[in-house]
Amino acid sequence: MRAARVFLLASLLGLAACSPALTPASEDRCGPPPPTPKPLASLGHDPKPFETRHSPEKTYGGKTSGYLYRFEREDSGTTESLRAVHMIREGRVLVVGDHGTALVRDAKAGWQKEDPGTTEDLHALVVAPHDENGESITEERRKNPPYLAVGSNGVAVFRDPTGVWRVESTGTTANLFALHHLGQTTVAVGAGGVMVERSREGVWRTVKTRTTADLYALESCGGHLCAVGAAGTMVLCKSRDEELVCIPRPPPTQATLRVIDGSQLMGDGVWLSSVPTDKPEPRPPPTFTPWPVAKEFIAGEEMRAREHNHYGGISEMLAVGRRGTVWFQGRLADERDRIERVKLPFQADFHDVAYELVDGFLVGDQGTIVHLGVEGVALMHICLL
Amino acid sequence: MKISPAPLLAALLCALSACAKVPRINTSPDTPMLTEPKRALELGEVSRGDTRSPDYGIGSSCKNGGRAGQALDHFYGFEVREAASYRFEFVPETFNGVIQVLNKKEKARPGRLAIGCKAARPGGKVALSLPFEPGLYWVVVDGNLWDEAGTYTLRVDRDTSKTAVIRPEDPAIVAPLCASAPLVRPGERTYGTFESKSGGARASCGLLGGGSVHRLSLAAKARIRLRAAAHFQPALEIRSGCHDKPVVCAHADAGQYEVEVTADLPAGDHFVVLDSTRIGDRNPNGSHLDEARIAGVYVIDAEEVAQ
Repeated sequence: MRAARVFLLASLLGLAACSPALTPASEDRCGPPPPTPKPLASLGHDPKPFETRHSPEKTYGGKTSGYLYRFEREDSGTTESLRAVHMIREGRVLVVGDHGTALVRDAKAGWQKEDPGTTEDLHALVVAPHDENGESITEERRKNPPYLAVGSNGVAVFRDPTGVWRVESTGTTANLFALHHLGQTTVAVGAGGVMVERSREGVWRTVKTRTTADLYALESCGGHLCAVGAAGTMVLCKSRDEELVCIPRPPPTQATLRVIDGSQLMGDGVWLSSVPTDKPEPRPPPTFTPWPVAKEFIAGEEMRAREHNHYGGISEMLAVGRRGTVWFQGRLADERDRIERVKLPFQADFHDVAYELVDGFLVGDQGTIVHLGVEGVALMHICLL
Repeated sequence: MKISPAPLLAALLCALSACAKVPRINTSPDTPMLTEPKRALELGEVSRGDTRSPDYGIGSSCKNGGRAGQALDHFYGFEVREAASYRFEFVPETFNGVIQVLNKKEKARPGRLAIGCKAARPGGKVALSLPFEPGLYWVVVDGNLWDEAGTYTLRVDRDTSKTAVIRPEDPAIVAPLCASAPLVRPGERTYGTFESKSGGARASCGLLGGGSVHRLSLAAKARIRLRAAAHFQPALEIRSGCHDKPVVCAHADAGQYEVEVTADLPAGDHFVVLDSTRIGDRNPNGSHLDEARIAGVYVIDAEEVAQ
C-alpha cells in the first residue's frame, strides 16, 4: 500500500514536470486582459457623424448587443476621385486616386499630399513584397513598407519605405485596375484583358489571359488566381513552370464582376457563390452561381470593393459600393448568411475600403474619405501556456 | 514515516525511459546511411533479397511501426524510360514487409516524395500500380513492423490491365463520351474541364486519357484550325469517327500550354479529343497511392481558314 502511494506521488511529480498547465499558478501567468482598443481620433468635420449599431459576430461569446459603428467624413483636401486605400494598424494610411493623387493621413495635420511622380489616375494600391527570408520584421519595418500602385495608361509607381516615389515601366499602355500578390511577384490586370506581372526586383512582363474583356478584380479563389471583369468574364490562372497560365472560364453571369472574395464573386447587381463539390483531389476548378441569400441585398447595387477584419471579438467583411452603400457580412462559417446593407448619408460612390480591428477608411468620388471607428470592441483574452 | 527509495527510483526511471534513446537494431552509430540506392530494379526481372543484411538506406516512411532510425531495408533505383503505368509485385516471404515507391524530387524541391506504399504479411503477395513519367525513382523494401526483416521477391512490369491509370482507350468508356460530346463551332470558343480517366479518350499523341471529347459538325468540307490552351500540357486530336484513327494530332511542347492543329475535313461529324501529355502533379504531401490525376480547365478556339 505504501509502495503504491509512493508510486502515485512519483508519477504526479513526473507529470508536473511535463505539464506546466496543471500547476496551480497557471491562471495567474496569463497576465491582464488586453486593453479595449480605441479607434483613431477622427479628423472628421461632420457635425453629427452617422452611427449605427451592428453585431459582427455571435459565436465564441461575442457581444450580442452589437458595437457602435461611427462613420465620419474627413477633409481630404481634394475633389479628385480617390480609388484605393491601404491602412496599416497603428501605422500609415495611404490613399491614391485620379490625376496622380496620393494622400497620407497625419493624425495632427490631416491628409497630406504626396507626389507620386505621375499625373495618371491611380486605381489600385498594395504593399509591395519586401521582407527577405529569415529577416526580422521590426515594428519600424512593419509600419513603413514599400507600396505599389497602378493606374491609367499602364502606369505603375513604387513608393519606397522612405517615402520616395518612382515610376516603373509595365510594358503596357492599358489602364490597370487591380493588383494582387502571388508569392514574391505582384500581378496587375486591366482594360482589354491585359495582365502584367512584376518581379520582386521591379521587372514587369506580360501574361497572356486569352481574353480581351476588361478585368477589374484579381484574387485567389479555389486554388487559383482568379481575375473577373466585364460581362461576367472570369479567368483562372495557375503557376506552371514558374509562369502564370491563364484560361478563361464560361461567364457565370452577364453582369460586370468587380469583387472576388474567395468563394464569392460580386459586382453589378450580382452576388455569386461557389458551387460546393465533394470530388476528391485534385479538385475541379471552382464554379459560381447566383447566391439566393444575397439577392435582396445586391439588387440594383454595384459592389466595388471589400475588406476583411478578423480579430478575437470582431470578424466580418465590409464591402462598399455606389451611392454610399456598405455591406457587412459575418465571416465565421455559421455567419456567412448574415448580410446587412447600410446606406450611409454620403452620396458618394465608394471605390475602395480598408478595415482593421476598430478602424476603417472608405474612399470614393469627389475626394470622399470616410473614417469608420468601431466603439466597444472587447478583444478575446487568449492565453497560451 | 519511512519510505523506501526503490519504488520512487523505479517510477522516475520509468518516466525517463520515454525520452531515452533506444539503440538501433543491427546498426552501430558509425553505420553510414545510404543516400543513393546501391541496387537496381529491372523491368520484367525478379529481384530477390534478404533484409537481414540491410542496406541501411533511407527506410520506408510509411511502415506501420518501427524505431526512429531503424532502416532494415533494401534500397533500389528504378529507371523509367517510357511514360506508362508500372506494377510492382512484392512478396515478403518470411517477414512482415512493406514496399514504398518514391519520387526523387526535381530540382525545385529537393528531397524525396512518397508516391506509393503497400504492406504484406509473411508469405503474402501485394501489387502496387502507379503511373510514371521517365526519370529515376526509388523503391524501398523495409520491415513493416519493429525489427521485421527477411527474404522477399520484388518484380516490376508494365501494367496494361484495366486498373492501370495509363492504358489504351476503352471503347466502352469512350463511346458514351462521343454520344454526348458537346459541340465545337467554328468562330466560337468552347470551354471545358479535363478530368483524367483510366481508359478514357486518349489522343494518339497524348498520354493520360480523359473525358474530354467534342463534336465538330461541318455542313461542307472545310479547313478547320483548332487552338487549345489548358492548365496542363494539352494534346489535341481530330478523328472522323469516335473510334477512328486520327486525322491529325498535335501536342504542346514541354513547358507550353497551348497547341494548334489544322486539318482539311469533309462534311459531316468529326470528334475532337483533348488529352494531357503529362501525368498530374504529385501530391506534395506524399501519398500511399498517387495516381497523378488531372482536373484542369481548357478552352478550344475553332475557326475556318481559307484553303
